Amino acid sequence: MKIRVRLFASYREAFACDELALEVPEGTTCAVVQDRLATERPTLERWRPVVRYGINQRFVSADTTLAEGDELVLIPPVSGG
Amino acid sequence: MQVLGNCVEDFAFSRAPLAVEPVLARIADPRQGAAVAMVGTVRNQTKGRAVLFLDYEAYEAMALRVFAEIAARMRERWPTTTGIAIHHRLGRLAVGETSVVVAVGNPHRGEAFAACEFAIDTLKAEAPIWKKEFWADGTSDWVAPGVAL
Repeated sequence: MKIRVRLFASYREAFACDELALEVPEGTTCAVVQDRLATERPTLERWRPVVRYGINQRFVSADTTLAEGDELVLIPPVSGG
Repeated sequence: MQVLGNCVEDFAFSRAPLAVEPVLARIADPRQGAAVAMVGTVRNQTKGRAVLFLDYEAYEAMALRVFAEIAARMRERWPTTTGIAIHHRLGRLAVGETSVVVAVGNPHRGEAFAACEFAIDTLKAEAPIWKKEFWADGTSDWVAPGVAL
């Protein structure tokens, strides 16, 4: 199935773009996508223990399963304000 | 800007410099006895390292939802709140520039101070906004509060 991945901050820099279109198997969780991206771009490995996830602009847990057409965002530690 | 219950709410991102007065004007209300504005500014150093400038980015659509959720929690906890505004700057900011203005109106100052502190603390912890620090020694990195990297 197809999902969209929105990239910000160090994720955007690592891929030199702000969005990826990924083909992933049924049952794929947010954490699996993080692992896949960190395999492709090892600089992202440092965020693995602390990254958070949003699906369709809502925070979700790492073990949340993705659905066809979902928009996933990987959220490294935030620092607004 | 929208009015929820008896409370005006106004959330925005800006690539242009922020000023406090226009944000306070957005929540002006005759029931208000106090308006507290928290103004975040770019500090010249982090842990002794000289900072040249910061670069802010946000997932704006999701962050605006987070702002609305923060406001909903404020209205629940401080029901007399008359106005809540959060304006956040994006892009490159020099030392001394304003990065965020959080303004809260209430008939009484105690509630306004408490609600404003809650708003900025929660924004910093939850809103999908990131800043990269550029230091005087030519290096830079993303700010990750509380994370040992």
